[in-house]
Amino acid sequence: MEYTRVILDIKPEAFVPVIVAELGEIGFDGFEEKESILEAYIEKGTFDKPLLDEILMRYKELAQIDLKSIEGLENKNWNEIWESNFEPIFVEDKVVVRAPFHDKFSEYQHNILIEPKMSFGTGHHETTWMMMKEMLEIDFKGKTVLDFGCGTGILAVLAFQKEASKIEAIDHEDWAFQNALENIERNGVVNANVMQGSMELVKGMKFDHILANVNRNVLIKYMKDLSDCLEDSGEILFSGILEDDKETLAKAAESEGLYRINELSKGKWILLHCRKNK
Amino acid sequence: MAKEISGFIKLQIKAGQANPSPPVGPALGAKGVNIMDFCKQFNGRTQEKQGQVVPVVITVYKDKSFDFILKTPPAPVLILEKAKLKSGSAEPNRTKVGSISWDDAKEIAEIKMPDLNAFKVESAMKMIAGTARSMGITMSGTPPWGSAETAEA
Repeated sequence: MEYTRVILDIKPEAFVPVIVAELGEIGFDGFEEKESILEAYIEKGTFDKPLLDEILMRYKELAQIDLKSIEGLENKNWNEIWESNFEPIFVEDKVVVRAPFHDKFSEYQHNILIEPKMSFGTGHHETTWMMMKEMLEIDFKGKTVLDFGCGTGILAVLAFQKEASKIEAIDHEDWAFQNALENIERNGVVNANVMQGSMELVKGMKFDHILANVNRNVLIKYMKDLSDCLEDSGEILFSGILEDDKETLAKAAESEGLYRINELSKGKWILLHCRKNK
Repeated sequence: MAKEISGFIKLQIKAGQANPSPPVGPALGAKGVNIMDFCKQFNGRTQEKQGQVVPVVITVYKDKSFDFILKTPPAPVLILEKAKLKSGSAEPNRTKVGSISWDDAKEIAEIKMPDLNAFKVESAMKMIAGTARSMGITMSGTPPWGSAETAEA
C-alpha cells in the first residue's frame, strides 16, 4: 500500500489535535507529532487535496498553519534496520530461528531460516515462541496442518521439519504472503501451499492440526470456520491472546466444540491448546 | 540500572490496527526498533477500541527496546464524533458546523480527565467547550452550573 505524507507546521500547538481530528474525517489514518510539526499519513488513493485545502482555509483565522510538503512514500521494508542484525532465538534446546547471516547451530534439531521482511513471526515475540514450544510436544508426522495467519511462514517450516504430510499456510497481508513464499523456499519446504486470503480459501478442507497465532478479535470472528476445518479429535493452538482474554477465548472455543487440553503463558501472553470434541 | 533512553515518538494511530505502514514503519524503523513487535503489543492492548484513533507515546531505548503509554483519544476527535460529522457523511466539506450538548461535553470530559490538567469535571467541560468552539462547534442548551458562565466557558 502506498502512502502520502503531508507535513504541516501548526501554531499554536494546541491546534495540533484539532487538525488531527479534522484530517481523520477526510481519511488520514496515522499521525506523528513533533512539537508544532504534524506529519499526517493517508493512503495514496484516498488523498483529496481540495478537502485538505478546505480544512486549512477554515482554520486560517484561528491558527497559523503552514503546509510544508506533500510527498508520496515508496512501499518499502521499514523494518530493515532491525532485520539486518537481529539475534537468533532459541526454543528449549531443539529449535533455533536465525537469519541467513547467522552461522548454523548444528547441535539444534531444528534450524529455521527467516528473513522477515516486515512480516510477523521470528520467535522474538512471546506468541510465536510459545507456538514453537507447544509444537515440540505434538507429533505432526503424517498429519495435515493449517497455518492460519502464517506471517513469515515460521510455523509452517517447523511443521514441515516435524514431518507433517501437507501444510496450507494462509495470510491476508501482501508482505506476509510474499515473505512466507520466500521463507518456505529458503528452508526447502516441499509440501506447503502458501495462499493470500482468509478462511474462505480452505472452506471444505479438513486438517489434523491448526496453528492460529493471530489476535483475540480475529480468532473469535473465525472460531466457527476454524472448528469446521478441524478433523474430529483434531487439535488447534490459539496464540496472540493476552492473559485477560484467556477465559473469553476459551469460552468462544468451547462453544464450537474445542476444549482446552493445555495452556502456556509467557509475559502477558497466553497460548491455548484445544482438542475438537471431548 | 535504568535503561538509557534514545528518544520519544508520539504517534496517533488506529486502535487494534497498527501495521508496519507509515507512520509506524518510518517512525520506529528508523530507530532500529522491531516494528512487528510494537504492532503486536499495541494491537493487543488497544483491541477494545478497534478503529478509534489513539495517541501513543513510545519510549525508545539505546538497546532498541521500547515501552509505550496509551493516552485517551484527542478531545477534538471525540467532539467530532459527538457532533456526528464523521467522514463518509454526505457533506464532508462542512460549511455549516454542528453542535454538541453539555451532556456530551461531560461525557468527553470524563473520558479525558486522566490526561487533562483539570481537577474537576466542570473545569474539564469548560476546556472541551472551548475546543469545540474553536472548531466551529457550538454548545447547545445551558451548562449545569447555569447560563452566566457560558460566555467565558
